[in-house]
Amino acid sequence: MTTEQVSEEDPPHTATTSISVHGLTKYYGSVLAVDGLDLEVRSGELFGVLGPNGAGKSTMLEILVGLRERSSGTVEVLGSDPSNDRERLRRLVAVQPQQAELFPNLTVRETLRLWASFHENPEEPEAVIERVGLTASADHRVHKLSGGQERRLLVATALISRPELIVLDEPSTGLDPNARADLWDVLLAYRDRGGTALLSTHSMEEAESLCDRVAVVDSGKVVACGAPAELVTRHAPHDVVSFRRAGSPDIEAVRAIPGVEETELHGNRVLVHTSRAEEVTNELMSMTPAPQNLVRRTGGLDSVFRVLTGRTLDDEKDG
Amino acid sequence: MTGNSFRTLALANARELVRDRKTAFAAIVMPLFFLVLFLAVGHFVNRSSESDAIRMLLPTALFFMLGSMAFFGTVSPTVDLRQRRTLRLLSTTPLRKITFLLSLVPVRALVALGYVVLVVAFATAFDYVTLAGIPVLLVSAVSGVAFFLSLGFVLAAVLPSAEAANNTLSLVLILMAFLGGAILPLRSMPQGVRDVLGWLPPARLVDTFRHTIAGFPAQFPAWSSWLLMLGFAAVLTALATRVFSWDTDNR
Repeated sequence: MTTEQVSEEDPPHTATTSISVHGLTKYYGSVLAVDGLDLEVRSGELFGVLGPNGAGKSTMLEILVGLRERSSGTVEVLGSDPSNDRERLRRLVAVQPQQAELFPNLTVRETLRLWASFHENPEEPEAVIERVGLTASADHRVHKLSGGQERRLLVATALISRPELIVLDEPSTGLDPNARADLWDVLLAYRDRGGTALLSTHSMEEAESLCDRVAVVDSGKVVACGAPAELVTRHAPHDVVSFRRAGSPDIEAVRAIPGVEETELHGNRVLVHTSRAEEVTNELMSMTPAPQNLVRRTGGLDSVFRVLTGRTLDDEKDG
Repeated sequence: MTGNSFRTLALANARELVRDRKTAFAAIVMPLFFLVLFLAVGHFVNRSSESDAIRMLLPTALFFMLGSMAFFGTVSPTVDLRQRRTLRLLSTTPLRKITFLLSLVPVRALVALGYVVLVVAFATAFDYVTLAGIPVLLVSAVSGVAFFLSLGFVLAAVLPSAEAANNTLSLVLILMAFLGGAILPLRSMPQGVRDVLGWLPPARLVDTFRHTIAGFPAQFPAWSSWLLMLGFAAVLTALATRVFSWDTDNR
């Protein structure tokens, strides 16, 4: 596995840094969940932590917001140590933990009024309801909401405090594509108003579409950090041509095509890595039988992750 | 704590209690079941006895009503909120533990007041309670509810799951009734045990109820019983605030 230090991306530790993490480790008994992790999140950016399940993303986020104690390392969030100054951070940082449920029998409006009452200068609940697209469901009880609506309400409870920083643990898990797009719009609008957002995800698409910068995390370590396009250019510049394995040309024949640098089997698809995608695609299409469901695209963060770790984002880390 | 967050959270807790069938049953219906049960037992005993068994059992019924409302209507829902990780979410806001715990009180106090009014109306209709005894009964009930709720807070703070809560609460309620002499009269116990139990809230609550409703001679001055129950309530609430955990996870 290639490990890249974050130093090349490190901004200086100034007021424009919202989160600064150095050498963070967390043990659960003898199990190492976070392994000397370094991270800097700049103020006003939408920062993604990308990694497979079990990579240590949730643990790291929970340490940052004071829900968990770290084993070692230094953490500074908006100038405070979450272990020592949680009171202050609870006023400045809004959190959406994974697997948190709201009061099931309150309505959307009642829930947001309740959350607004916890803060000194909250937003108007009605305005937030409108922004997250829950106006039609404002009088529905939480347990009657769909998964997507409940996720949006959770984000709304985070936004209502006018937080300087919002931390979201896999906010779009379980959402359909429309609900996910709506959620992204809400988060981008928050960022555009000057807010800083840190979110974890195992969705490469979410990281690429939403985040200004991304830290790729594996086995509790940051293995790469930067803007998505920059990471792709640096680590996975090759194009990928993929097609369905069944009813397609023989793999050995594909490997023999000039310009093919690597082939791999991924589920029921064949992935062909090349820097000459146009020529390779034409060659593939002229073969018999012709490749089924052929898709061609430039390298993405999934390729970055594969290059850096030798695994895919769909792989779950044991333990 | 801000007054606004307390008020809004108290209102939210009231809505949760009324709207959730399980909680509404535990906090509202089950205590009435105790009343009906004890009245039925008294009725059957009266058919074969000279004494007024309903009057003798009414204080015990009220004791069980208030205790079951406080325990089953408070502990299980709170533990359930912790298991659902709702409390974990609340812990990321500026809300304080004491505000959360105290916000559970108003709606439950209101329900308890309803029971007391019901029992007082019944007792007055049958001339069990005197006009002068009603204020004493009311203050005793308020003090008793404060004690029961504070003990409920401690249990809600330490019990790990709703299943554990349901299994434990029945035992705790019976233990409280036993310690208060509601099941076995204190006078049938050895003097040393009686002396110790006399310093505990359950015995004081049963004593004031029996005195005001059933006409038994008071073993303790009512004001001392109120102070003792409220003192225990304050200490237990402080203890609950200290040991209360928002989260099921080991941090």
